[in-house]
Amino acid sequence: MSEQKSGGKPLLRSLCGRKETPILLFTLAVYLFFCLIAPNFRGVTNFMIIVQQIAINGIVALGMTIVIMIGGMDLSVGAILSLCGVCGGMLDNAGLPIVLTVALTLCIGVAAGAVNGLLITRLDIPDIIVTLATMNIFRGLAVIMTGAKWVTDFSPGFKALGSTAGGFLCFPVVVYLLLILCFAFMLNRMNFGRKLYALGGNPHAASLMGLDCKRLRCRVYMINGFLLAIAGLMFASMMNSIQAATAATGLQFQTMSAALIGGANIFGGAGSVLGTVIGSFLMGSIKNGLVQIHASEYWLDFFTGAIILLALIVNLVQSARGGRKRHGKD
Amino acid sequence: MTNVIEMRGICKAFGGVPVLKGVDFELGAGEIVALVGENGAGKSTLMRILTGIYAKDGGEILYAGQPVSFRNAKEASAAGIQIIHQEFNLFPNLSVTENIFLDHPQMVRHGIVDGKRARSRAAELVAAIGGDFDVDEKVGSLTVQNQQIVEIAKALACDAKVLIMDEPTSALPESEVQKLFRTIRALKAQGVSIIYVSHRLNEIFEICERIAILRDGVTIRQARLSETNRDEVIHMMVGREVGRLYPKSEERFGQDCLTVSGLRDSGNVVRGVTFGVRAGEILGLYGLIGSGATECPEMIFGLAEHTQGEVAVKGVPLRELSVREAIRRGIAYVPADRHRQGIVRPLSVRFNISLAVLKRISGRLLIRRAQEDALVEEYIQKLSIRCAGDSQSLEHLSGGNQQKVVISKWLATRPDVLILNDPTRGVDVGAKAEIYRIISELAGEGMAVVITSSDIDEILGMSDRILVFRKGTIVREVSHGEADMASLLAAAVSG
Repeated sequence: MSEQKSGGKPLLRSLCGRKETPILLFTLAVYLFFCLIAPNFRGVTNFMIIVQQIAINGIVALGMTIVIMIGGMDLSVGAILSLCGVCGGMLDNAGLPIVLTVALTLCIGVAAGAVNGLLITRLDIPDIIVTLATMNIFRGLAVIMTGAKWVTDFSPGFKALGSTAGGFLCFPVVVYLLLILCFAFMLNRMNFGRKLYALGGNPHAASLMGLDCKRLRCRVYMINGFLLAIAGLMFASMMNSIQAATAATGLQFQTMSAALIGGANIFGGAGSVLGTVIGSFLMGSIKNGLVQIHASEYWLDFFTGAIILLALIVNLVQSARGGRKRHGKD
Repeated sequence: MTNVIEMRGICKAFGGVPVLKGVDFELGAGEIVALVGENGAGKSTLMRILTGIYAKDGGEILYAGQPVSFRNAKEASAAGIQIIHQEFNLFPNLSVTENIFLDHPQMVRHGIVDGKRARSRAAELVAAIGGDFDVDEKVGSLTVQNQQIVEIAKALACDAKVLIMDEPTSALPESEVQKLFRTIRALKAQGVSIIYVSHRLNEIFEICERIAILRDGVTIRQARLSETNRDEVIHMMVGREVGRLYPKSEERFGQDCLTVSGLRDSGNVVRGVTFGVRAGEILGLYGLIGSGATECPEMIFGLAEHTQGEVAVKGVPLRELSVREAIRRGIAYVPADRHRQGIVRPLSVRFNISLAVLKRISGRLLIRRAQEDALVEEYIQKLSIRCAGDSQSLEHLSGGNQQKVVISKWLATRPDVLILNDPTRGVDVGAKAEIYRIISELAGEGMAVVITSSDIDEILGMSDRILVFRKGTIVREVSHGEADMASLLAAAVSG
């Protein structure tokens, strides 16, 4: 019986069944709305610009997705990004070859994630508290290291990391796309990804069946650190300079919004790569669109918040409907 | 017959309190053995030791003739010993297939899950034990009985040789029990040995071949079911006469204070229950888990949903069954789960006691300190709450004293009806006696008291009258003099 069901599933029906569909439609609606009212918003060029703009936040949002999925929380993402960006820039300024700069920065990112993970799992401190503290610590470290000065004057190799030359084939977009594929594979096909869903869905059952929950949790924060290092390098490179104190502040909330819009459950157990990508794109479109329609700067935050709220309500309606359908079946 | 499992002289203590004092247990190959005992007899602890969740303090376990000692659940599971807990351990957000083959070595190659193979194998397993649902379905959307099938399939997927089922029918509607039995027989035919933990004797005599009876941490008897009978089993489970540990004030009852008529819910947990409690009377509700004995008071207090029925206090019906209305009309409810529902742990004794009556002791803007002082002082005295002053946080009080604080909080509302759900759970013996004294005194002062408890001694000792629940209805009513443990248990098990 079940064989038939999966066999000739028409595209339309499989699209209806996916829980990302409503939010995808909502995002398209927002996109079309901006197309209608802002001539500059239309066209492939602006679409490309949006994609370039969301690459960095999008990468961070992928990490945030798995953190939220295991029922965790990371407030320190902006700080880690800043720390990694600053370190990468300073290593580059010190004349290190680009490969070494990137490798060392990635290590720093993973180490910062490990600090979060170890504090959370070994000392059993709630993640929101740990990352609230490390948010300040990492940011502070970055400021101390730079003496609160701008880090700039990068080598050509470093500048290429965040260069937007090449359109869709620029380095940040290519890396973003690759990471999306990796993450989708990890969450859907790999045992590791499956275990993350399990850990977030029912931590008690996960530990009873012998999963090493602490190690899994710690690894998630390390992966998150790895992504933040990549994002940090691109950030410094794309801006051509980085200042420790102001880089990527508020990033935790932007990326959390993207993941939640994409269907991640703040209590853990749910979240998808596709959803988060859509969420990131929605956030990027709003930002870009509001600029294009010359919305007053004062209104930017308000509109952004309102659209996020709408998106979350769309998700809510979707899950409520799922619940009703289930009841009917039983 | 060779024994798959032999446990000899198993000992285990928690915080110095011995729970198992040298338990023996045997399980033959392909056998279905019932493990029975009262609440707290040590059944769950024994099974948790067998499956590596707890470490034993003493004794030995032979598995297929070899001494073993599992350090965690994964090791036991790898060796073929699987347990299905009473509370299922499934992942509601994952599909049936994903639940069955989560982290399963045969389905993972180089860290990648073989989804197709897992799916078809899961469908096979589920079908083999009589499941009829899509394995792509999310487990959270399945019915309880189908979730149980997923649990069993999960155990089979790990090549279970020994399957422990803890109260497998407690969550099932009556109609599904026979289906489960068919599944169990199919498992037995496949050579799986089963430990059936339950206190539903009817079911045990139907499905099991042997029985092991635990009482107070020791094995009372292991026997073939054909060599024993229900009365003997009940007698061995209970084993002692109930002493008159319980103070009884002279029984002088007033008018009907609380009346409940035709109470019923949509899930058939409670189906048409009618009873009354008089002022000054202590009414005990007794029944096994899921019988409705604990659910009924929850409905009266508006904690659980009901579909039909009426509750009246002193003859005047409540407008609706909600917590607000219940409190307004003088019903107080001391919950079973003290930590979750009863106390605000970090707050002080004072705050906890006055919490439910803040409105009464407050002026327009401020809490009247003098009134609060008097109130708190009164109850600390009356219930002899032992604390280092009323500003001490509840975290540092013993379970018994915490419970007295919860009772105080409700007494402060000056209720006419006091409902107590498992009032002495997790409370030491000394404090128990005090709580019993307090309850008796309250009844003596004319309060109508309803007690439900998992502790049968408590019900027998405290109640002036006992209602026995089974499958959501009252199957027997006995008065204090004529009740004894065996007849109560017999009624609860088989009506």
